[in-house]
Amino acid sequence: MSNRRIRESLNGYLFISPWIVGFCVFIAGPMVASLLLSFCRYDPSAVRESVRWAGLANYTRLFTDDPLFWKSLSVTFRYSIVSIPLQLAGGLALALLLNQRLRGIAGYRAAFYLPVVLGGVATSLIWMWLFSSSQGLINIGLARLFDFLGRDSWISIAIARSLQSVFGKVEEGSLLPGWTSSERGALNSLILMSLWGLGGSMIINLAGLQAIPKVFYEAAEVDGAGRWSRFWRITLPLLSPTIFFNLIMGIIGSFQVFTQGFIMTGGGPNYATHFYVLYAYRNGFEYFKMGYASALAWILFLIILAFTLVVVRSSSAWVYYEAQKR
Amino acid sequence: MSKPLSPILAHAVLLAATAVMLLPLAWMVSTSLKQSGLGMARGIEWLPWKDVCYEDGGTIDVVTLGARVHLLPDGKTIEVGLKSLASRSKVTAVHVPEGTFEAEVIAYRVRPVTHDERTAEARWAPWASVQRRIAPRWRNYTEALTKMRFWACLANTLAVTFLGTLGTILSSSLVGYGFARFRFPGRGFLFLVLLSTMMLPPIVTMIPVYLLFRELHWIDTLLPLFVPSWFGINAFAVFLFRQYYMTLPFDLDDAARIDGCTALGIYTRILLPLARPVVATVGIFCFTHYWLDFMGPLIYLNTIEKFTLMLGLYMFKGAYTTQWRYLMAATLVVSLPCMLLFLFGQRFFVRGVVLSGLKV
Amino acid sequence: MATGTAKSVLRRLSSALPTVLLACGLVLSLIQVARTTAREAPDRRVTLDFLWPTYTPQKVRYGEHLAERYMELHPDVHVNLILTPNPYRKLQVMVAGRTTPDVVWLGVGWHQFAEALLPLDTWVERDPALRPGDYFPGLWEAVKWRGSVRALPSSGQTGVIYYNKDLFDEAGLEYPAPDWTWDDMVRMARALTRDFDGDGIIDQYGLQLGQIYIVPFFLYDGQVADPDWREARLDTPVSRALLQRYQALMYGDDGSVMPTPTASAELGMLPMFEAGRTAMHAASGYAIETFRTVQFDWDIVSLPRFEFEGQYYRATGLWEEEFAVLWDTDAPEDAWEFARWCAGEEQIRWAALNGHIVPGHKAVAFSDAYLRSGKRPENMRAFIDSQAFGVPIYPHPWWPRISAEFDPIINQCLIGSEGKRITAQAALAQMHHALQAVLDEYNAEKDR
Repeated sequence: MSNRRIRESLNGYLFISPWIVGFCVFIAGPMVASLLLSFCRYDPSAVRESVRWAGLANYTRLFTDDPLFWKSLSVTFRYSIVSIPLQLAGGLALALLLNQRLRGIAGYRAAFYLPVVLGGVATSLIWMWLFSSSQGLINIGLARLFDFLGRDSWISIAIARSLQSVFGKVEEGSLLPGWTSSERGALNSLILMSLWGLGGSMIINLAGLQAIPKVFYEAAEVDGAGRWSRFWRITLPLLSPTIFFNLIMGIIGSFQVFTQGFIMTGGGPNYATHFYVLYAYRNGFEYFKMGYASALAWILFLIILAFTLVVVRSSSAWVYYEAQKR
Repeated sequence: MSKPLSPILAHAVLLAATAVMLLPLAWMVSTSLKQSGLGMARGIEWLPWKDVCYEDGGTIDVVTLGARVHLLPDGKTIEVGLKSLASRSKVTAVHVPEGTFEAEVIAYRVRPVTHDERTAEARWAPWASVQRRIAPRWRNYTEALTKMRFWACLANTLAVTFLGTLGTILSSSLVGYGFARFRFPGRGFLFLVLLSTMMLPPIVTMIPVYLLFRELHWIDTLLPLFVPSWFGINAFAVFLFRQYYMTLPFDLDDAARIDGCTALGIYTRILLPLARPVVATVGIFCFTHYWLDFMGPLIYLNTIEKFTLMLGLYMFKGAYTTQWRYLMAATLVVSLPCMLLFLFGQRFFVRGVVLSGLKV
Repeated sequence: MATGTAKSVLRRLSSALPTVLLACGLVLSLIQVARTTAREAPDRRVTLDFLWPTYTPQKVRYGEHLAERYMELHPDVHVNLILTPNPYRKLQVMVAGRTTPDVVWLGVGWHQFAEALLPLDTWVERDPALRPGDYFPGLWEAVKWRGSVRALPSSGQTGVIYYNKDLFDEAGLEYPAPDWTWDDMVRMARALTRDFDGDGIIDQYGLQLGQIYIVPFFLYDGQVADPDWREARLDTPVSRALLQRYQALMYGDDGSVMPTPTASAELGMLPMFEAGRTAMHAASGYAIETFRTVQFDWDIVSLPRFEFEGQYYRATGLWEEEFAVLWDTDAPEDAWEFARWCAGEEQIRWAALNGHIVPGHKAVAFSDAYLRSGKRPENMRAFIDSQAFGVPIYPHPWWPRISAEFDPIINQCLIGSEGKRITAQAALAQMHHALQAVLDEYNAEKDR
């Protein structure tokens, strides 16, 4: 290599050196460390602390002797399985709705995205207040509705029963749903709350929609295709990369839900919202069982990796990249 | 963009959807201005009401607890709680376990509002002497912010946000520039590694990083919250800078080099200032990320004086669990900066979100 | 041209503005970070972090007094009072994060931090003014861990019986004598249990023994495990007999003299005594301030002796408050000085006379100022005398875990479910088994 090339390489390394250092110190190093930790037992709050090798003890304990592990996994899975499709469909629906040439459409879009900039803590507090079974807006509104329709009328009971089958009961004999205070309804309530943040997915879908060249639609119209057919045969396929992205992000995001569970329900009632990351956090920073928590973290990592790989592998079947030759 | 079938219908649907979407926020504002005695009434009350009782020529603030009513069908007089009354008119519906009846309100049971810790005695006042007035309680905000130690939290959050954003912009533009402008062995591979770090769940590295900061004695300080950002590990930001730099012609570099600039000089003098749109996008995203960060402060901060706004809000909730007026007021104030930033910098948000999708 | 220069100045300012703002932001942010990183270091030689609980406003005043007074006497030392509602959790987090304080207040359950505390034996030996003999013996035993002194005791709380003298007078009973027995207690309790309106619901109970740690029935014969804590020795005939009689107080065939936990849950145990619904109530010195506000006349007496097969047994819960130094303090000498001063006679006297503690220092405890202060209880001595047979209620570092295992078993014995309760024998057998399991696990870990 010429002197010049060597100098260029050196400069290159120099410029990316902050990242190299950061990567080693904050990413690669800790990854290796946490993998090793997962085979150890370590309690930093014990004074004569020492990292003790435990082999596969953490993992065997996890799989065979820890019902909370399976409970956390099932809670997280249930949440993902319901919320991901809702997010995909809802984000797309919203984007379609807001993709119209209308005066003031920017204002509407802003309104839908606004909840996203509030952050997890504020959102959790606002919805805690909304979901309050005795004083929350939703239940008071429902109570008023039942007053108006008559508490014993068949329609009140129908509405009440259908809501309660999803969102639990406040107590026996009540018409009102229990939301986050009921074991049956807590997780579903959190899923409902997650729909408030559809704005993010909507924006991505909007960008995807607007990237579809008009040509396709015009040609289809000329061929006599109806609205539905245009949507199904043009919009969806050309939107598939966006959907693919949203799916991956959805998987990664929904598996790591933490703040809502931590703040709103603390994992309850009776572990109904005991998310996996919440369990890992508790093990690491409340019980100070850092070896065990590391094992939990790595298992989650592998699960997310597996799901992502499956989706990526399957993408060749349903994701359509316009410019690529397949 | 498509043409709507019917603009009026479209507007109607959109307005309705927007109303539903923003309802929680409206309710938050409404709650934050309420007087005490929250949750006493039967229906949804959007406006902050205050009850006053006329006596001895003056008015005093009271909380209405219940009423003595005269059931109209059979003339029985009973006492009910406030929640049983459908409205505040003299003749109203009354909901009791036996059913719903028309009734005439004779008197209200009221308790004067005291401004210290004592509770006053409740007493009866005739219907006519108790009136409702609209009275937003602005003092909820000052009281909530004081109880939450708002200013201390704000200072901490501003410091972390500023230093974190600055660190991210400086370091990721540097690294992005390195990846964009220089050829060196392993460049492609390293860039792929960088991109793949975006998929890493934070929980995997959280514990060892905590232990690292523990060795440095940085626990319970603000340092762990922003120092890592100075090392260019925000892969998304690096990606944005690199993409942007790759669109700029090399002529700029050459011209500067002829003028005697070092590589670093080219960076500081030309490429950083030119990358303003990326800087703005990254800046805005970083701002919201650090402002809203909860798990970081939760893990690293233990003393009240060091809390950030989000952590302070959470602790505030722990201490004032049922006092929703204060909680909603605090939540609104804490969320305001990000909301304003969004409203005035919408295009940057949108651009950033879109760009994060394009990389796929 | 004025406007021209003004314009160019403005332009230069506006182009410089971002940089200026940036610089200001940077400086201010760094100042804030520095402020929250550095410990408070005024112009004093050393700063001591002092962890203190905020259990009651009284307690906070006690802590503030210690910090302020010490700083007055030692201008070169800064005492940084760290207040927290949950000192154990806070200390645990601090140890995990390496932000430990220098001196800490500890009460019951300190053993989980035993390893984190500086062994003070050599310091104590070197100090001629600090004589363990000046303090009640149980206290110095209670602050030892594996043979070495880990903290300096200041207060020794014991469980005693508070009794309502007015109700005793009404029933024509003599007041309990200091050496009264369990049978005396039951006899008196029976006479004091009344159903005034004959509706079958007892309106006045004779007795409330309250929480288990105040009357530690399984420690009456002083045996929980062997001295090395390897072998559980819980299930003894004395304990069984005592637990059986305890159960009988509530569910005995002759009728109950003590409200069940469910019955006392409505009003609360302390309020029941205040309202005159129980005639005798077991509590520690914490209750003094509360009970001083009641209208009736009351006094205290030590817990009764328990007779079993010709022998007399006696025990009461003993828990101490102490001051400890953390092992990784960077100012051990100064920390020791401060802890020593807090646990010294002078400060114990101050705290005792101000109603904060039951003094662990004999001279203070037996002083007229403390014993005959004119305030209730008259029989203040009972607290002190009880220390002679006090048993530490948290004798093992894993005691919170052990008592968490005990609680459901005790509840099944004393509360039961759906009217069914397990016998005292069964309960003790289960507790013995649970204790052994925990001890085995603990020792296995320690021995590794």
